[in-house]
Amino acid sequence: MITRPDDGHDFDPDDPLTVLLRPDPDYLALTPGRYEQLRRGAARRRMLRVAVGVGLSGVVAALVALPLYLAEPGSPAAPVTPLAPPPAGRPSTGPTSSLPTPAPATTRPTKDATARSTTRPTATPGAPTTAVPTAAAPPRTTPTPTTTAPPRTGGAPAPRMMDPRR
Amino acid sequence: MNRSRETAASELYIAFYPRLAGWCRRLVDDDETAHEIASEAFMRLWARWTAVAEPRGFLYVTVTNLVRDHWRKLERERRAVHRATTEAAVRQPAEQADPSLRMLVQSLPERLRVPILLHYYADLPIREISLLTGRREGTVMADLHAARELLRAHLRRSLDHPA
Repeated sequence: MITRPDDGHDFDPDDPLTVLLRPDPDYLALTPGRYEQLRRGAARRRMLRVAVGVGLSGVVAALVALPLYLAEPGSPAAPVTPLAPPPAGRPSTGPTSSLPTPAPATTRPTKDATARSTTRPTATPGAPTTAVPTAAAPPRTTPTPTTTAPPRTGGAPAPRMMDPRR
Repeated sequence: MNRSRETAASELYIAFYPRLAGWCRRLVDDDETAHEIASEAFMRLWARWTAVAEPRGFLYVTVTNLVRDHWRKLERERRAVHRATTEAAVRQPAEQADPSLRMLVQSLPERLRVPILLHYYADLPIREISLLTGRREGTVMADLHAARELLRAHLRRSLDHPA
């Protein structure tokens, strides 16, 4: 590699490059009051930079914290769902094993299943107003017509028909 | 500490501003623009005063970049005006700046321009330039040599074929 040691002053004086690289002796005079003006402007920029830095770090912290905060409510619901299928696993084990992963789909059947199966024992300690009407109304209405209707329809005229005629 | 910083800033300004603004004046068209660019360089320096290790080098490189931006802006304006009016009326101001010094800033790639500016105009020794640019001293000397050769070729071309 052919490079001369360079101290910057080993030019040929006739070289036009010497003129080009010679620092210019021209000076521009200082203007009064400009120093204070520049210092104030620099201080303002420093403050602005600090404010922007603080603001950006706050935004970054919020962006990091927000997903963590939003992810928190989903995590406690997940462990509840696996506990529900075993007691209600009576109708079908195959499909229910794949269903428990979504939280809302499994909680509703488990409430219904538990309500149907355990409304009678838990009716007294739990809230009776919500569990009793929903769980008790359909079974009470359905069994009563089925049990009473055939005897009433079939049984009532029969004795009446039988009794007056006989 | 704060007091000493203030004193150092003041001393640097008094000692260095006229020279920097004068150098800038060779590159731009008028005194007002030269003052604006030199002032902007000082303001940028003081805005990060504690982080700058070598203020003179920072000032020269900042002024060079600002001058280049100024030229680009002028060029855009010139093109815009050229579209509307005749070219002869607009071409004149660009010729007022020192052509050789303009060539120094305009023609050299940044890698070669920065060492030239720091060495020949900011008077920084090669060791300091190597610290500032993160290059070895031998690399800085090679860059200076390459820049001089490039400038010499440009000058020869411009002397052989004057515009």
